[in-house]
Amino acid sequence: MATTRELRDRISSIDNTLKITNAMYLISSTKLRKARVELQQTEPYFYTLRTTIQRILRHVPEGFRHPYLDLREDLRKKERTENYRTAIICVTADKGLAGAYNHNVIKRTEEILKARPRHKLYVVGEMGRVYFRSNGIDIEEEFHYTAQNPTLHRARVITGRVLDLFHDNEIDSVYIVYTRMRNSLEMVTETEQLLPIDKINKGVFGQVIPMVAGMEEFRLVPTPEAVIDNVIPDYISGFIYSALVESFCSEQNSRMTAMDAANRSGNKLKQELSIQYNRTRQAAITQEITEVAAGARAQKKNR
Amino acid sequence: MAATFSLNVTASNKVFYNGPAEYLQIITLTGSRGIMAHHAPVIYAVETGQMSIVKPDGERVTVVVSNGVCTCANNRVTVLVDTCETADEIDVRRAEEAKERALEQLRQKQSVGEFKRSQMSLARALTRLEFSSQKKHYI
Repeated sequence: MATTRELRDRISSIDNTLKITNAMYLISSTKLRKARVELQQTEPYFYTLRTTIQRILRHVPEGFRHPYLDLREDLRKKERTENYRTAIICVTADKGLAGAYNHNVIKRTEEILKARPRHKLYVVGEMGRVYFRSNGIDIEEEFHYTAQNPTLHRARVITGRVLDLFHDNEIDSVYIVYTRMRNSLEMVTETEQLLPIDKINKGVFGQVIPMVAGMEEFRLVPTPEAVIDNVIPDYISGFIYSALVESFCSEQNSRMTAMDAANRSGNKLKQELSIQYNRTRQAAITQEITEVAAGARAQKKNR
Repeated sequence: MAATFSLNVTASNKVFYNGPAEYLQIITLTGSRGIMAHHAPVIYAVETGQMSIVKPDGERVTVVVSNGVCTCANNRVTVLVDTCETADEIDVRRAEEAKERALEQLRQKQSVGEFKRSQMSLARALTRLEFSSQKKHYI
């Protein structure tokens, strides 16, 4: 049986840990609220942009070619999918203690890495960077962006970096791995192909809007190329931004859940230990009293 | 009262305007364009610059917008831009700094993408500065 002192030390150490987990819980709940507001503000822009691009893509002339939309059929015929040069943007957290959040993203990224051996890996967030470095997987240097407080500027810089590679014909496709909040409790790890935009399979656009009868013909001014050049980088930076915000939300949410669980099990443990502590203390007191009483009786006999 | 069209101006961080408008002036890649009610269906590529909205009551609102697209269809106009700022929102000092930074970057050797980005941020900064200096003239 543990001594009272040992138990007391243990309880006070649990108390200290509980203070930390409690504080972390509060911090992530405030951050989550802030990030939620940001997400709500960008949502209308993002959805309108999405429908606008769908509309533009419906109205580009037959046989129109553009590097962003080029599915590279010749490459597809010549090479197997394993040989595609792929850039992967992986969004992780800066800190751990967020349940399975980081692990899920990393696991998904590793699957793609295995499927596409010729890759460039861009990691947002310190946890992913540390993981891939310690596992001997090459990650791109000079890509130090934190996952904290995502801004549109950061998304724009990341987009510029990826578009540069795409323009210089160093990569054939771009993927992003991030975490999306399906609702306030459920999070899903998502993989999306950012480039080239898959017009036929609808790629990132998912569902197809049904054709409305008597739909008007659009003119793209000045040229379809110019319109697409203008809008696609915005779309990609918008997508990356919303992915960063969604990931940040999910990170805070999973940290909240993890810290809540830690609080609960900490309290439970503390309760059990204090019961044990009280028992031990009581046993010690009882024993002392018995000893004193026995000693007094012995003294009385001697007299 | 002149005919109106419904206008929606959405920037990446907010919905700036949603309602009827009489006239919209916007800078496209091929120059300034005025859009009135019942415009032909068209999609314009929008340049960084000033955009004016004339509301049905005759009030004129001028803002600075950056790159984006403007879609006209069925008497509805959707302007979708990166940023959209009124005169009060523009931070002159920040714009000044951004201009200096962009000029400095343009002087250095850059890749095509970097060059384009510096050029765009220079355009944004210059438009903001021009706009805020105009506002002072008015007052």
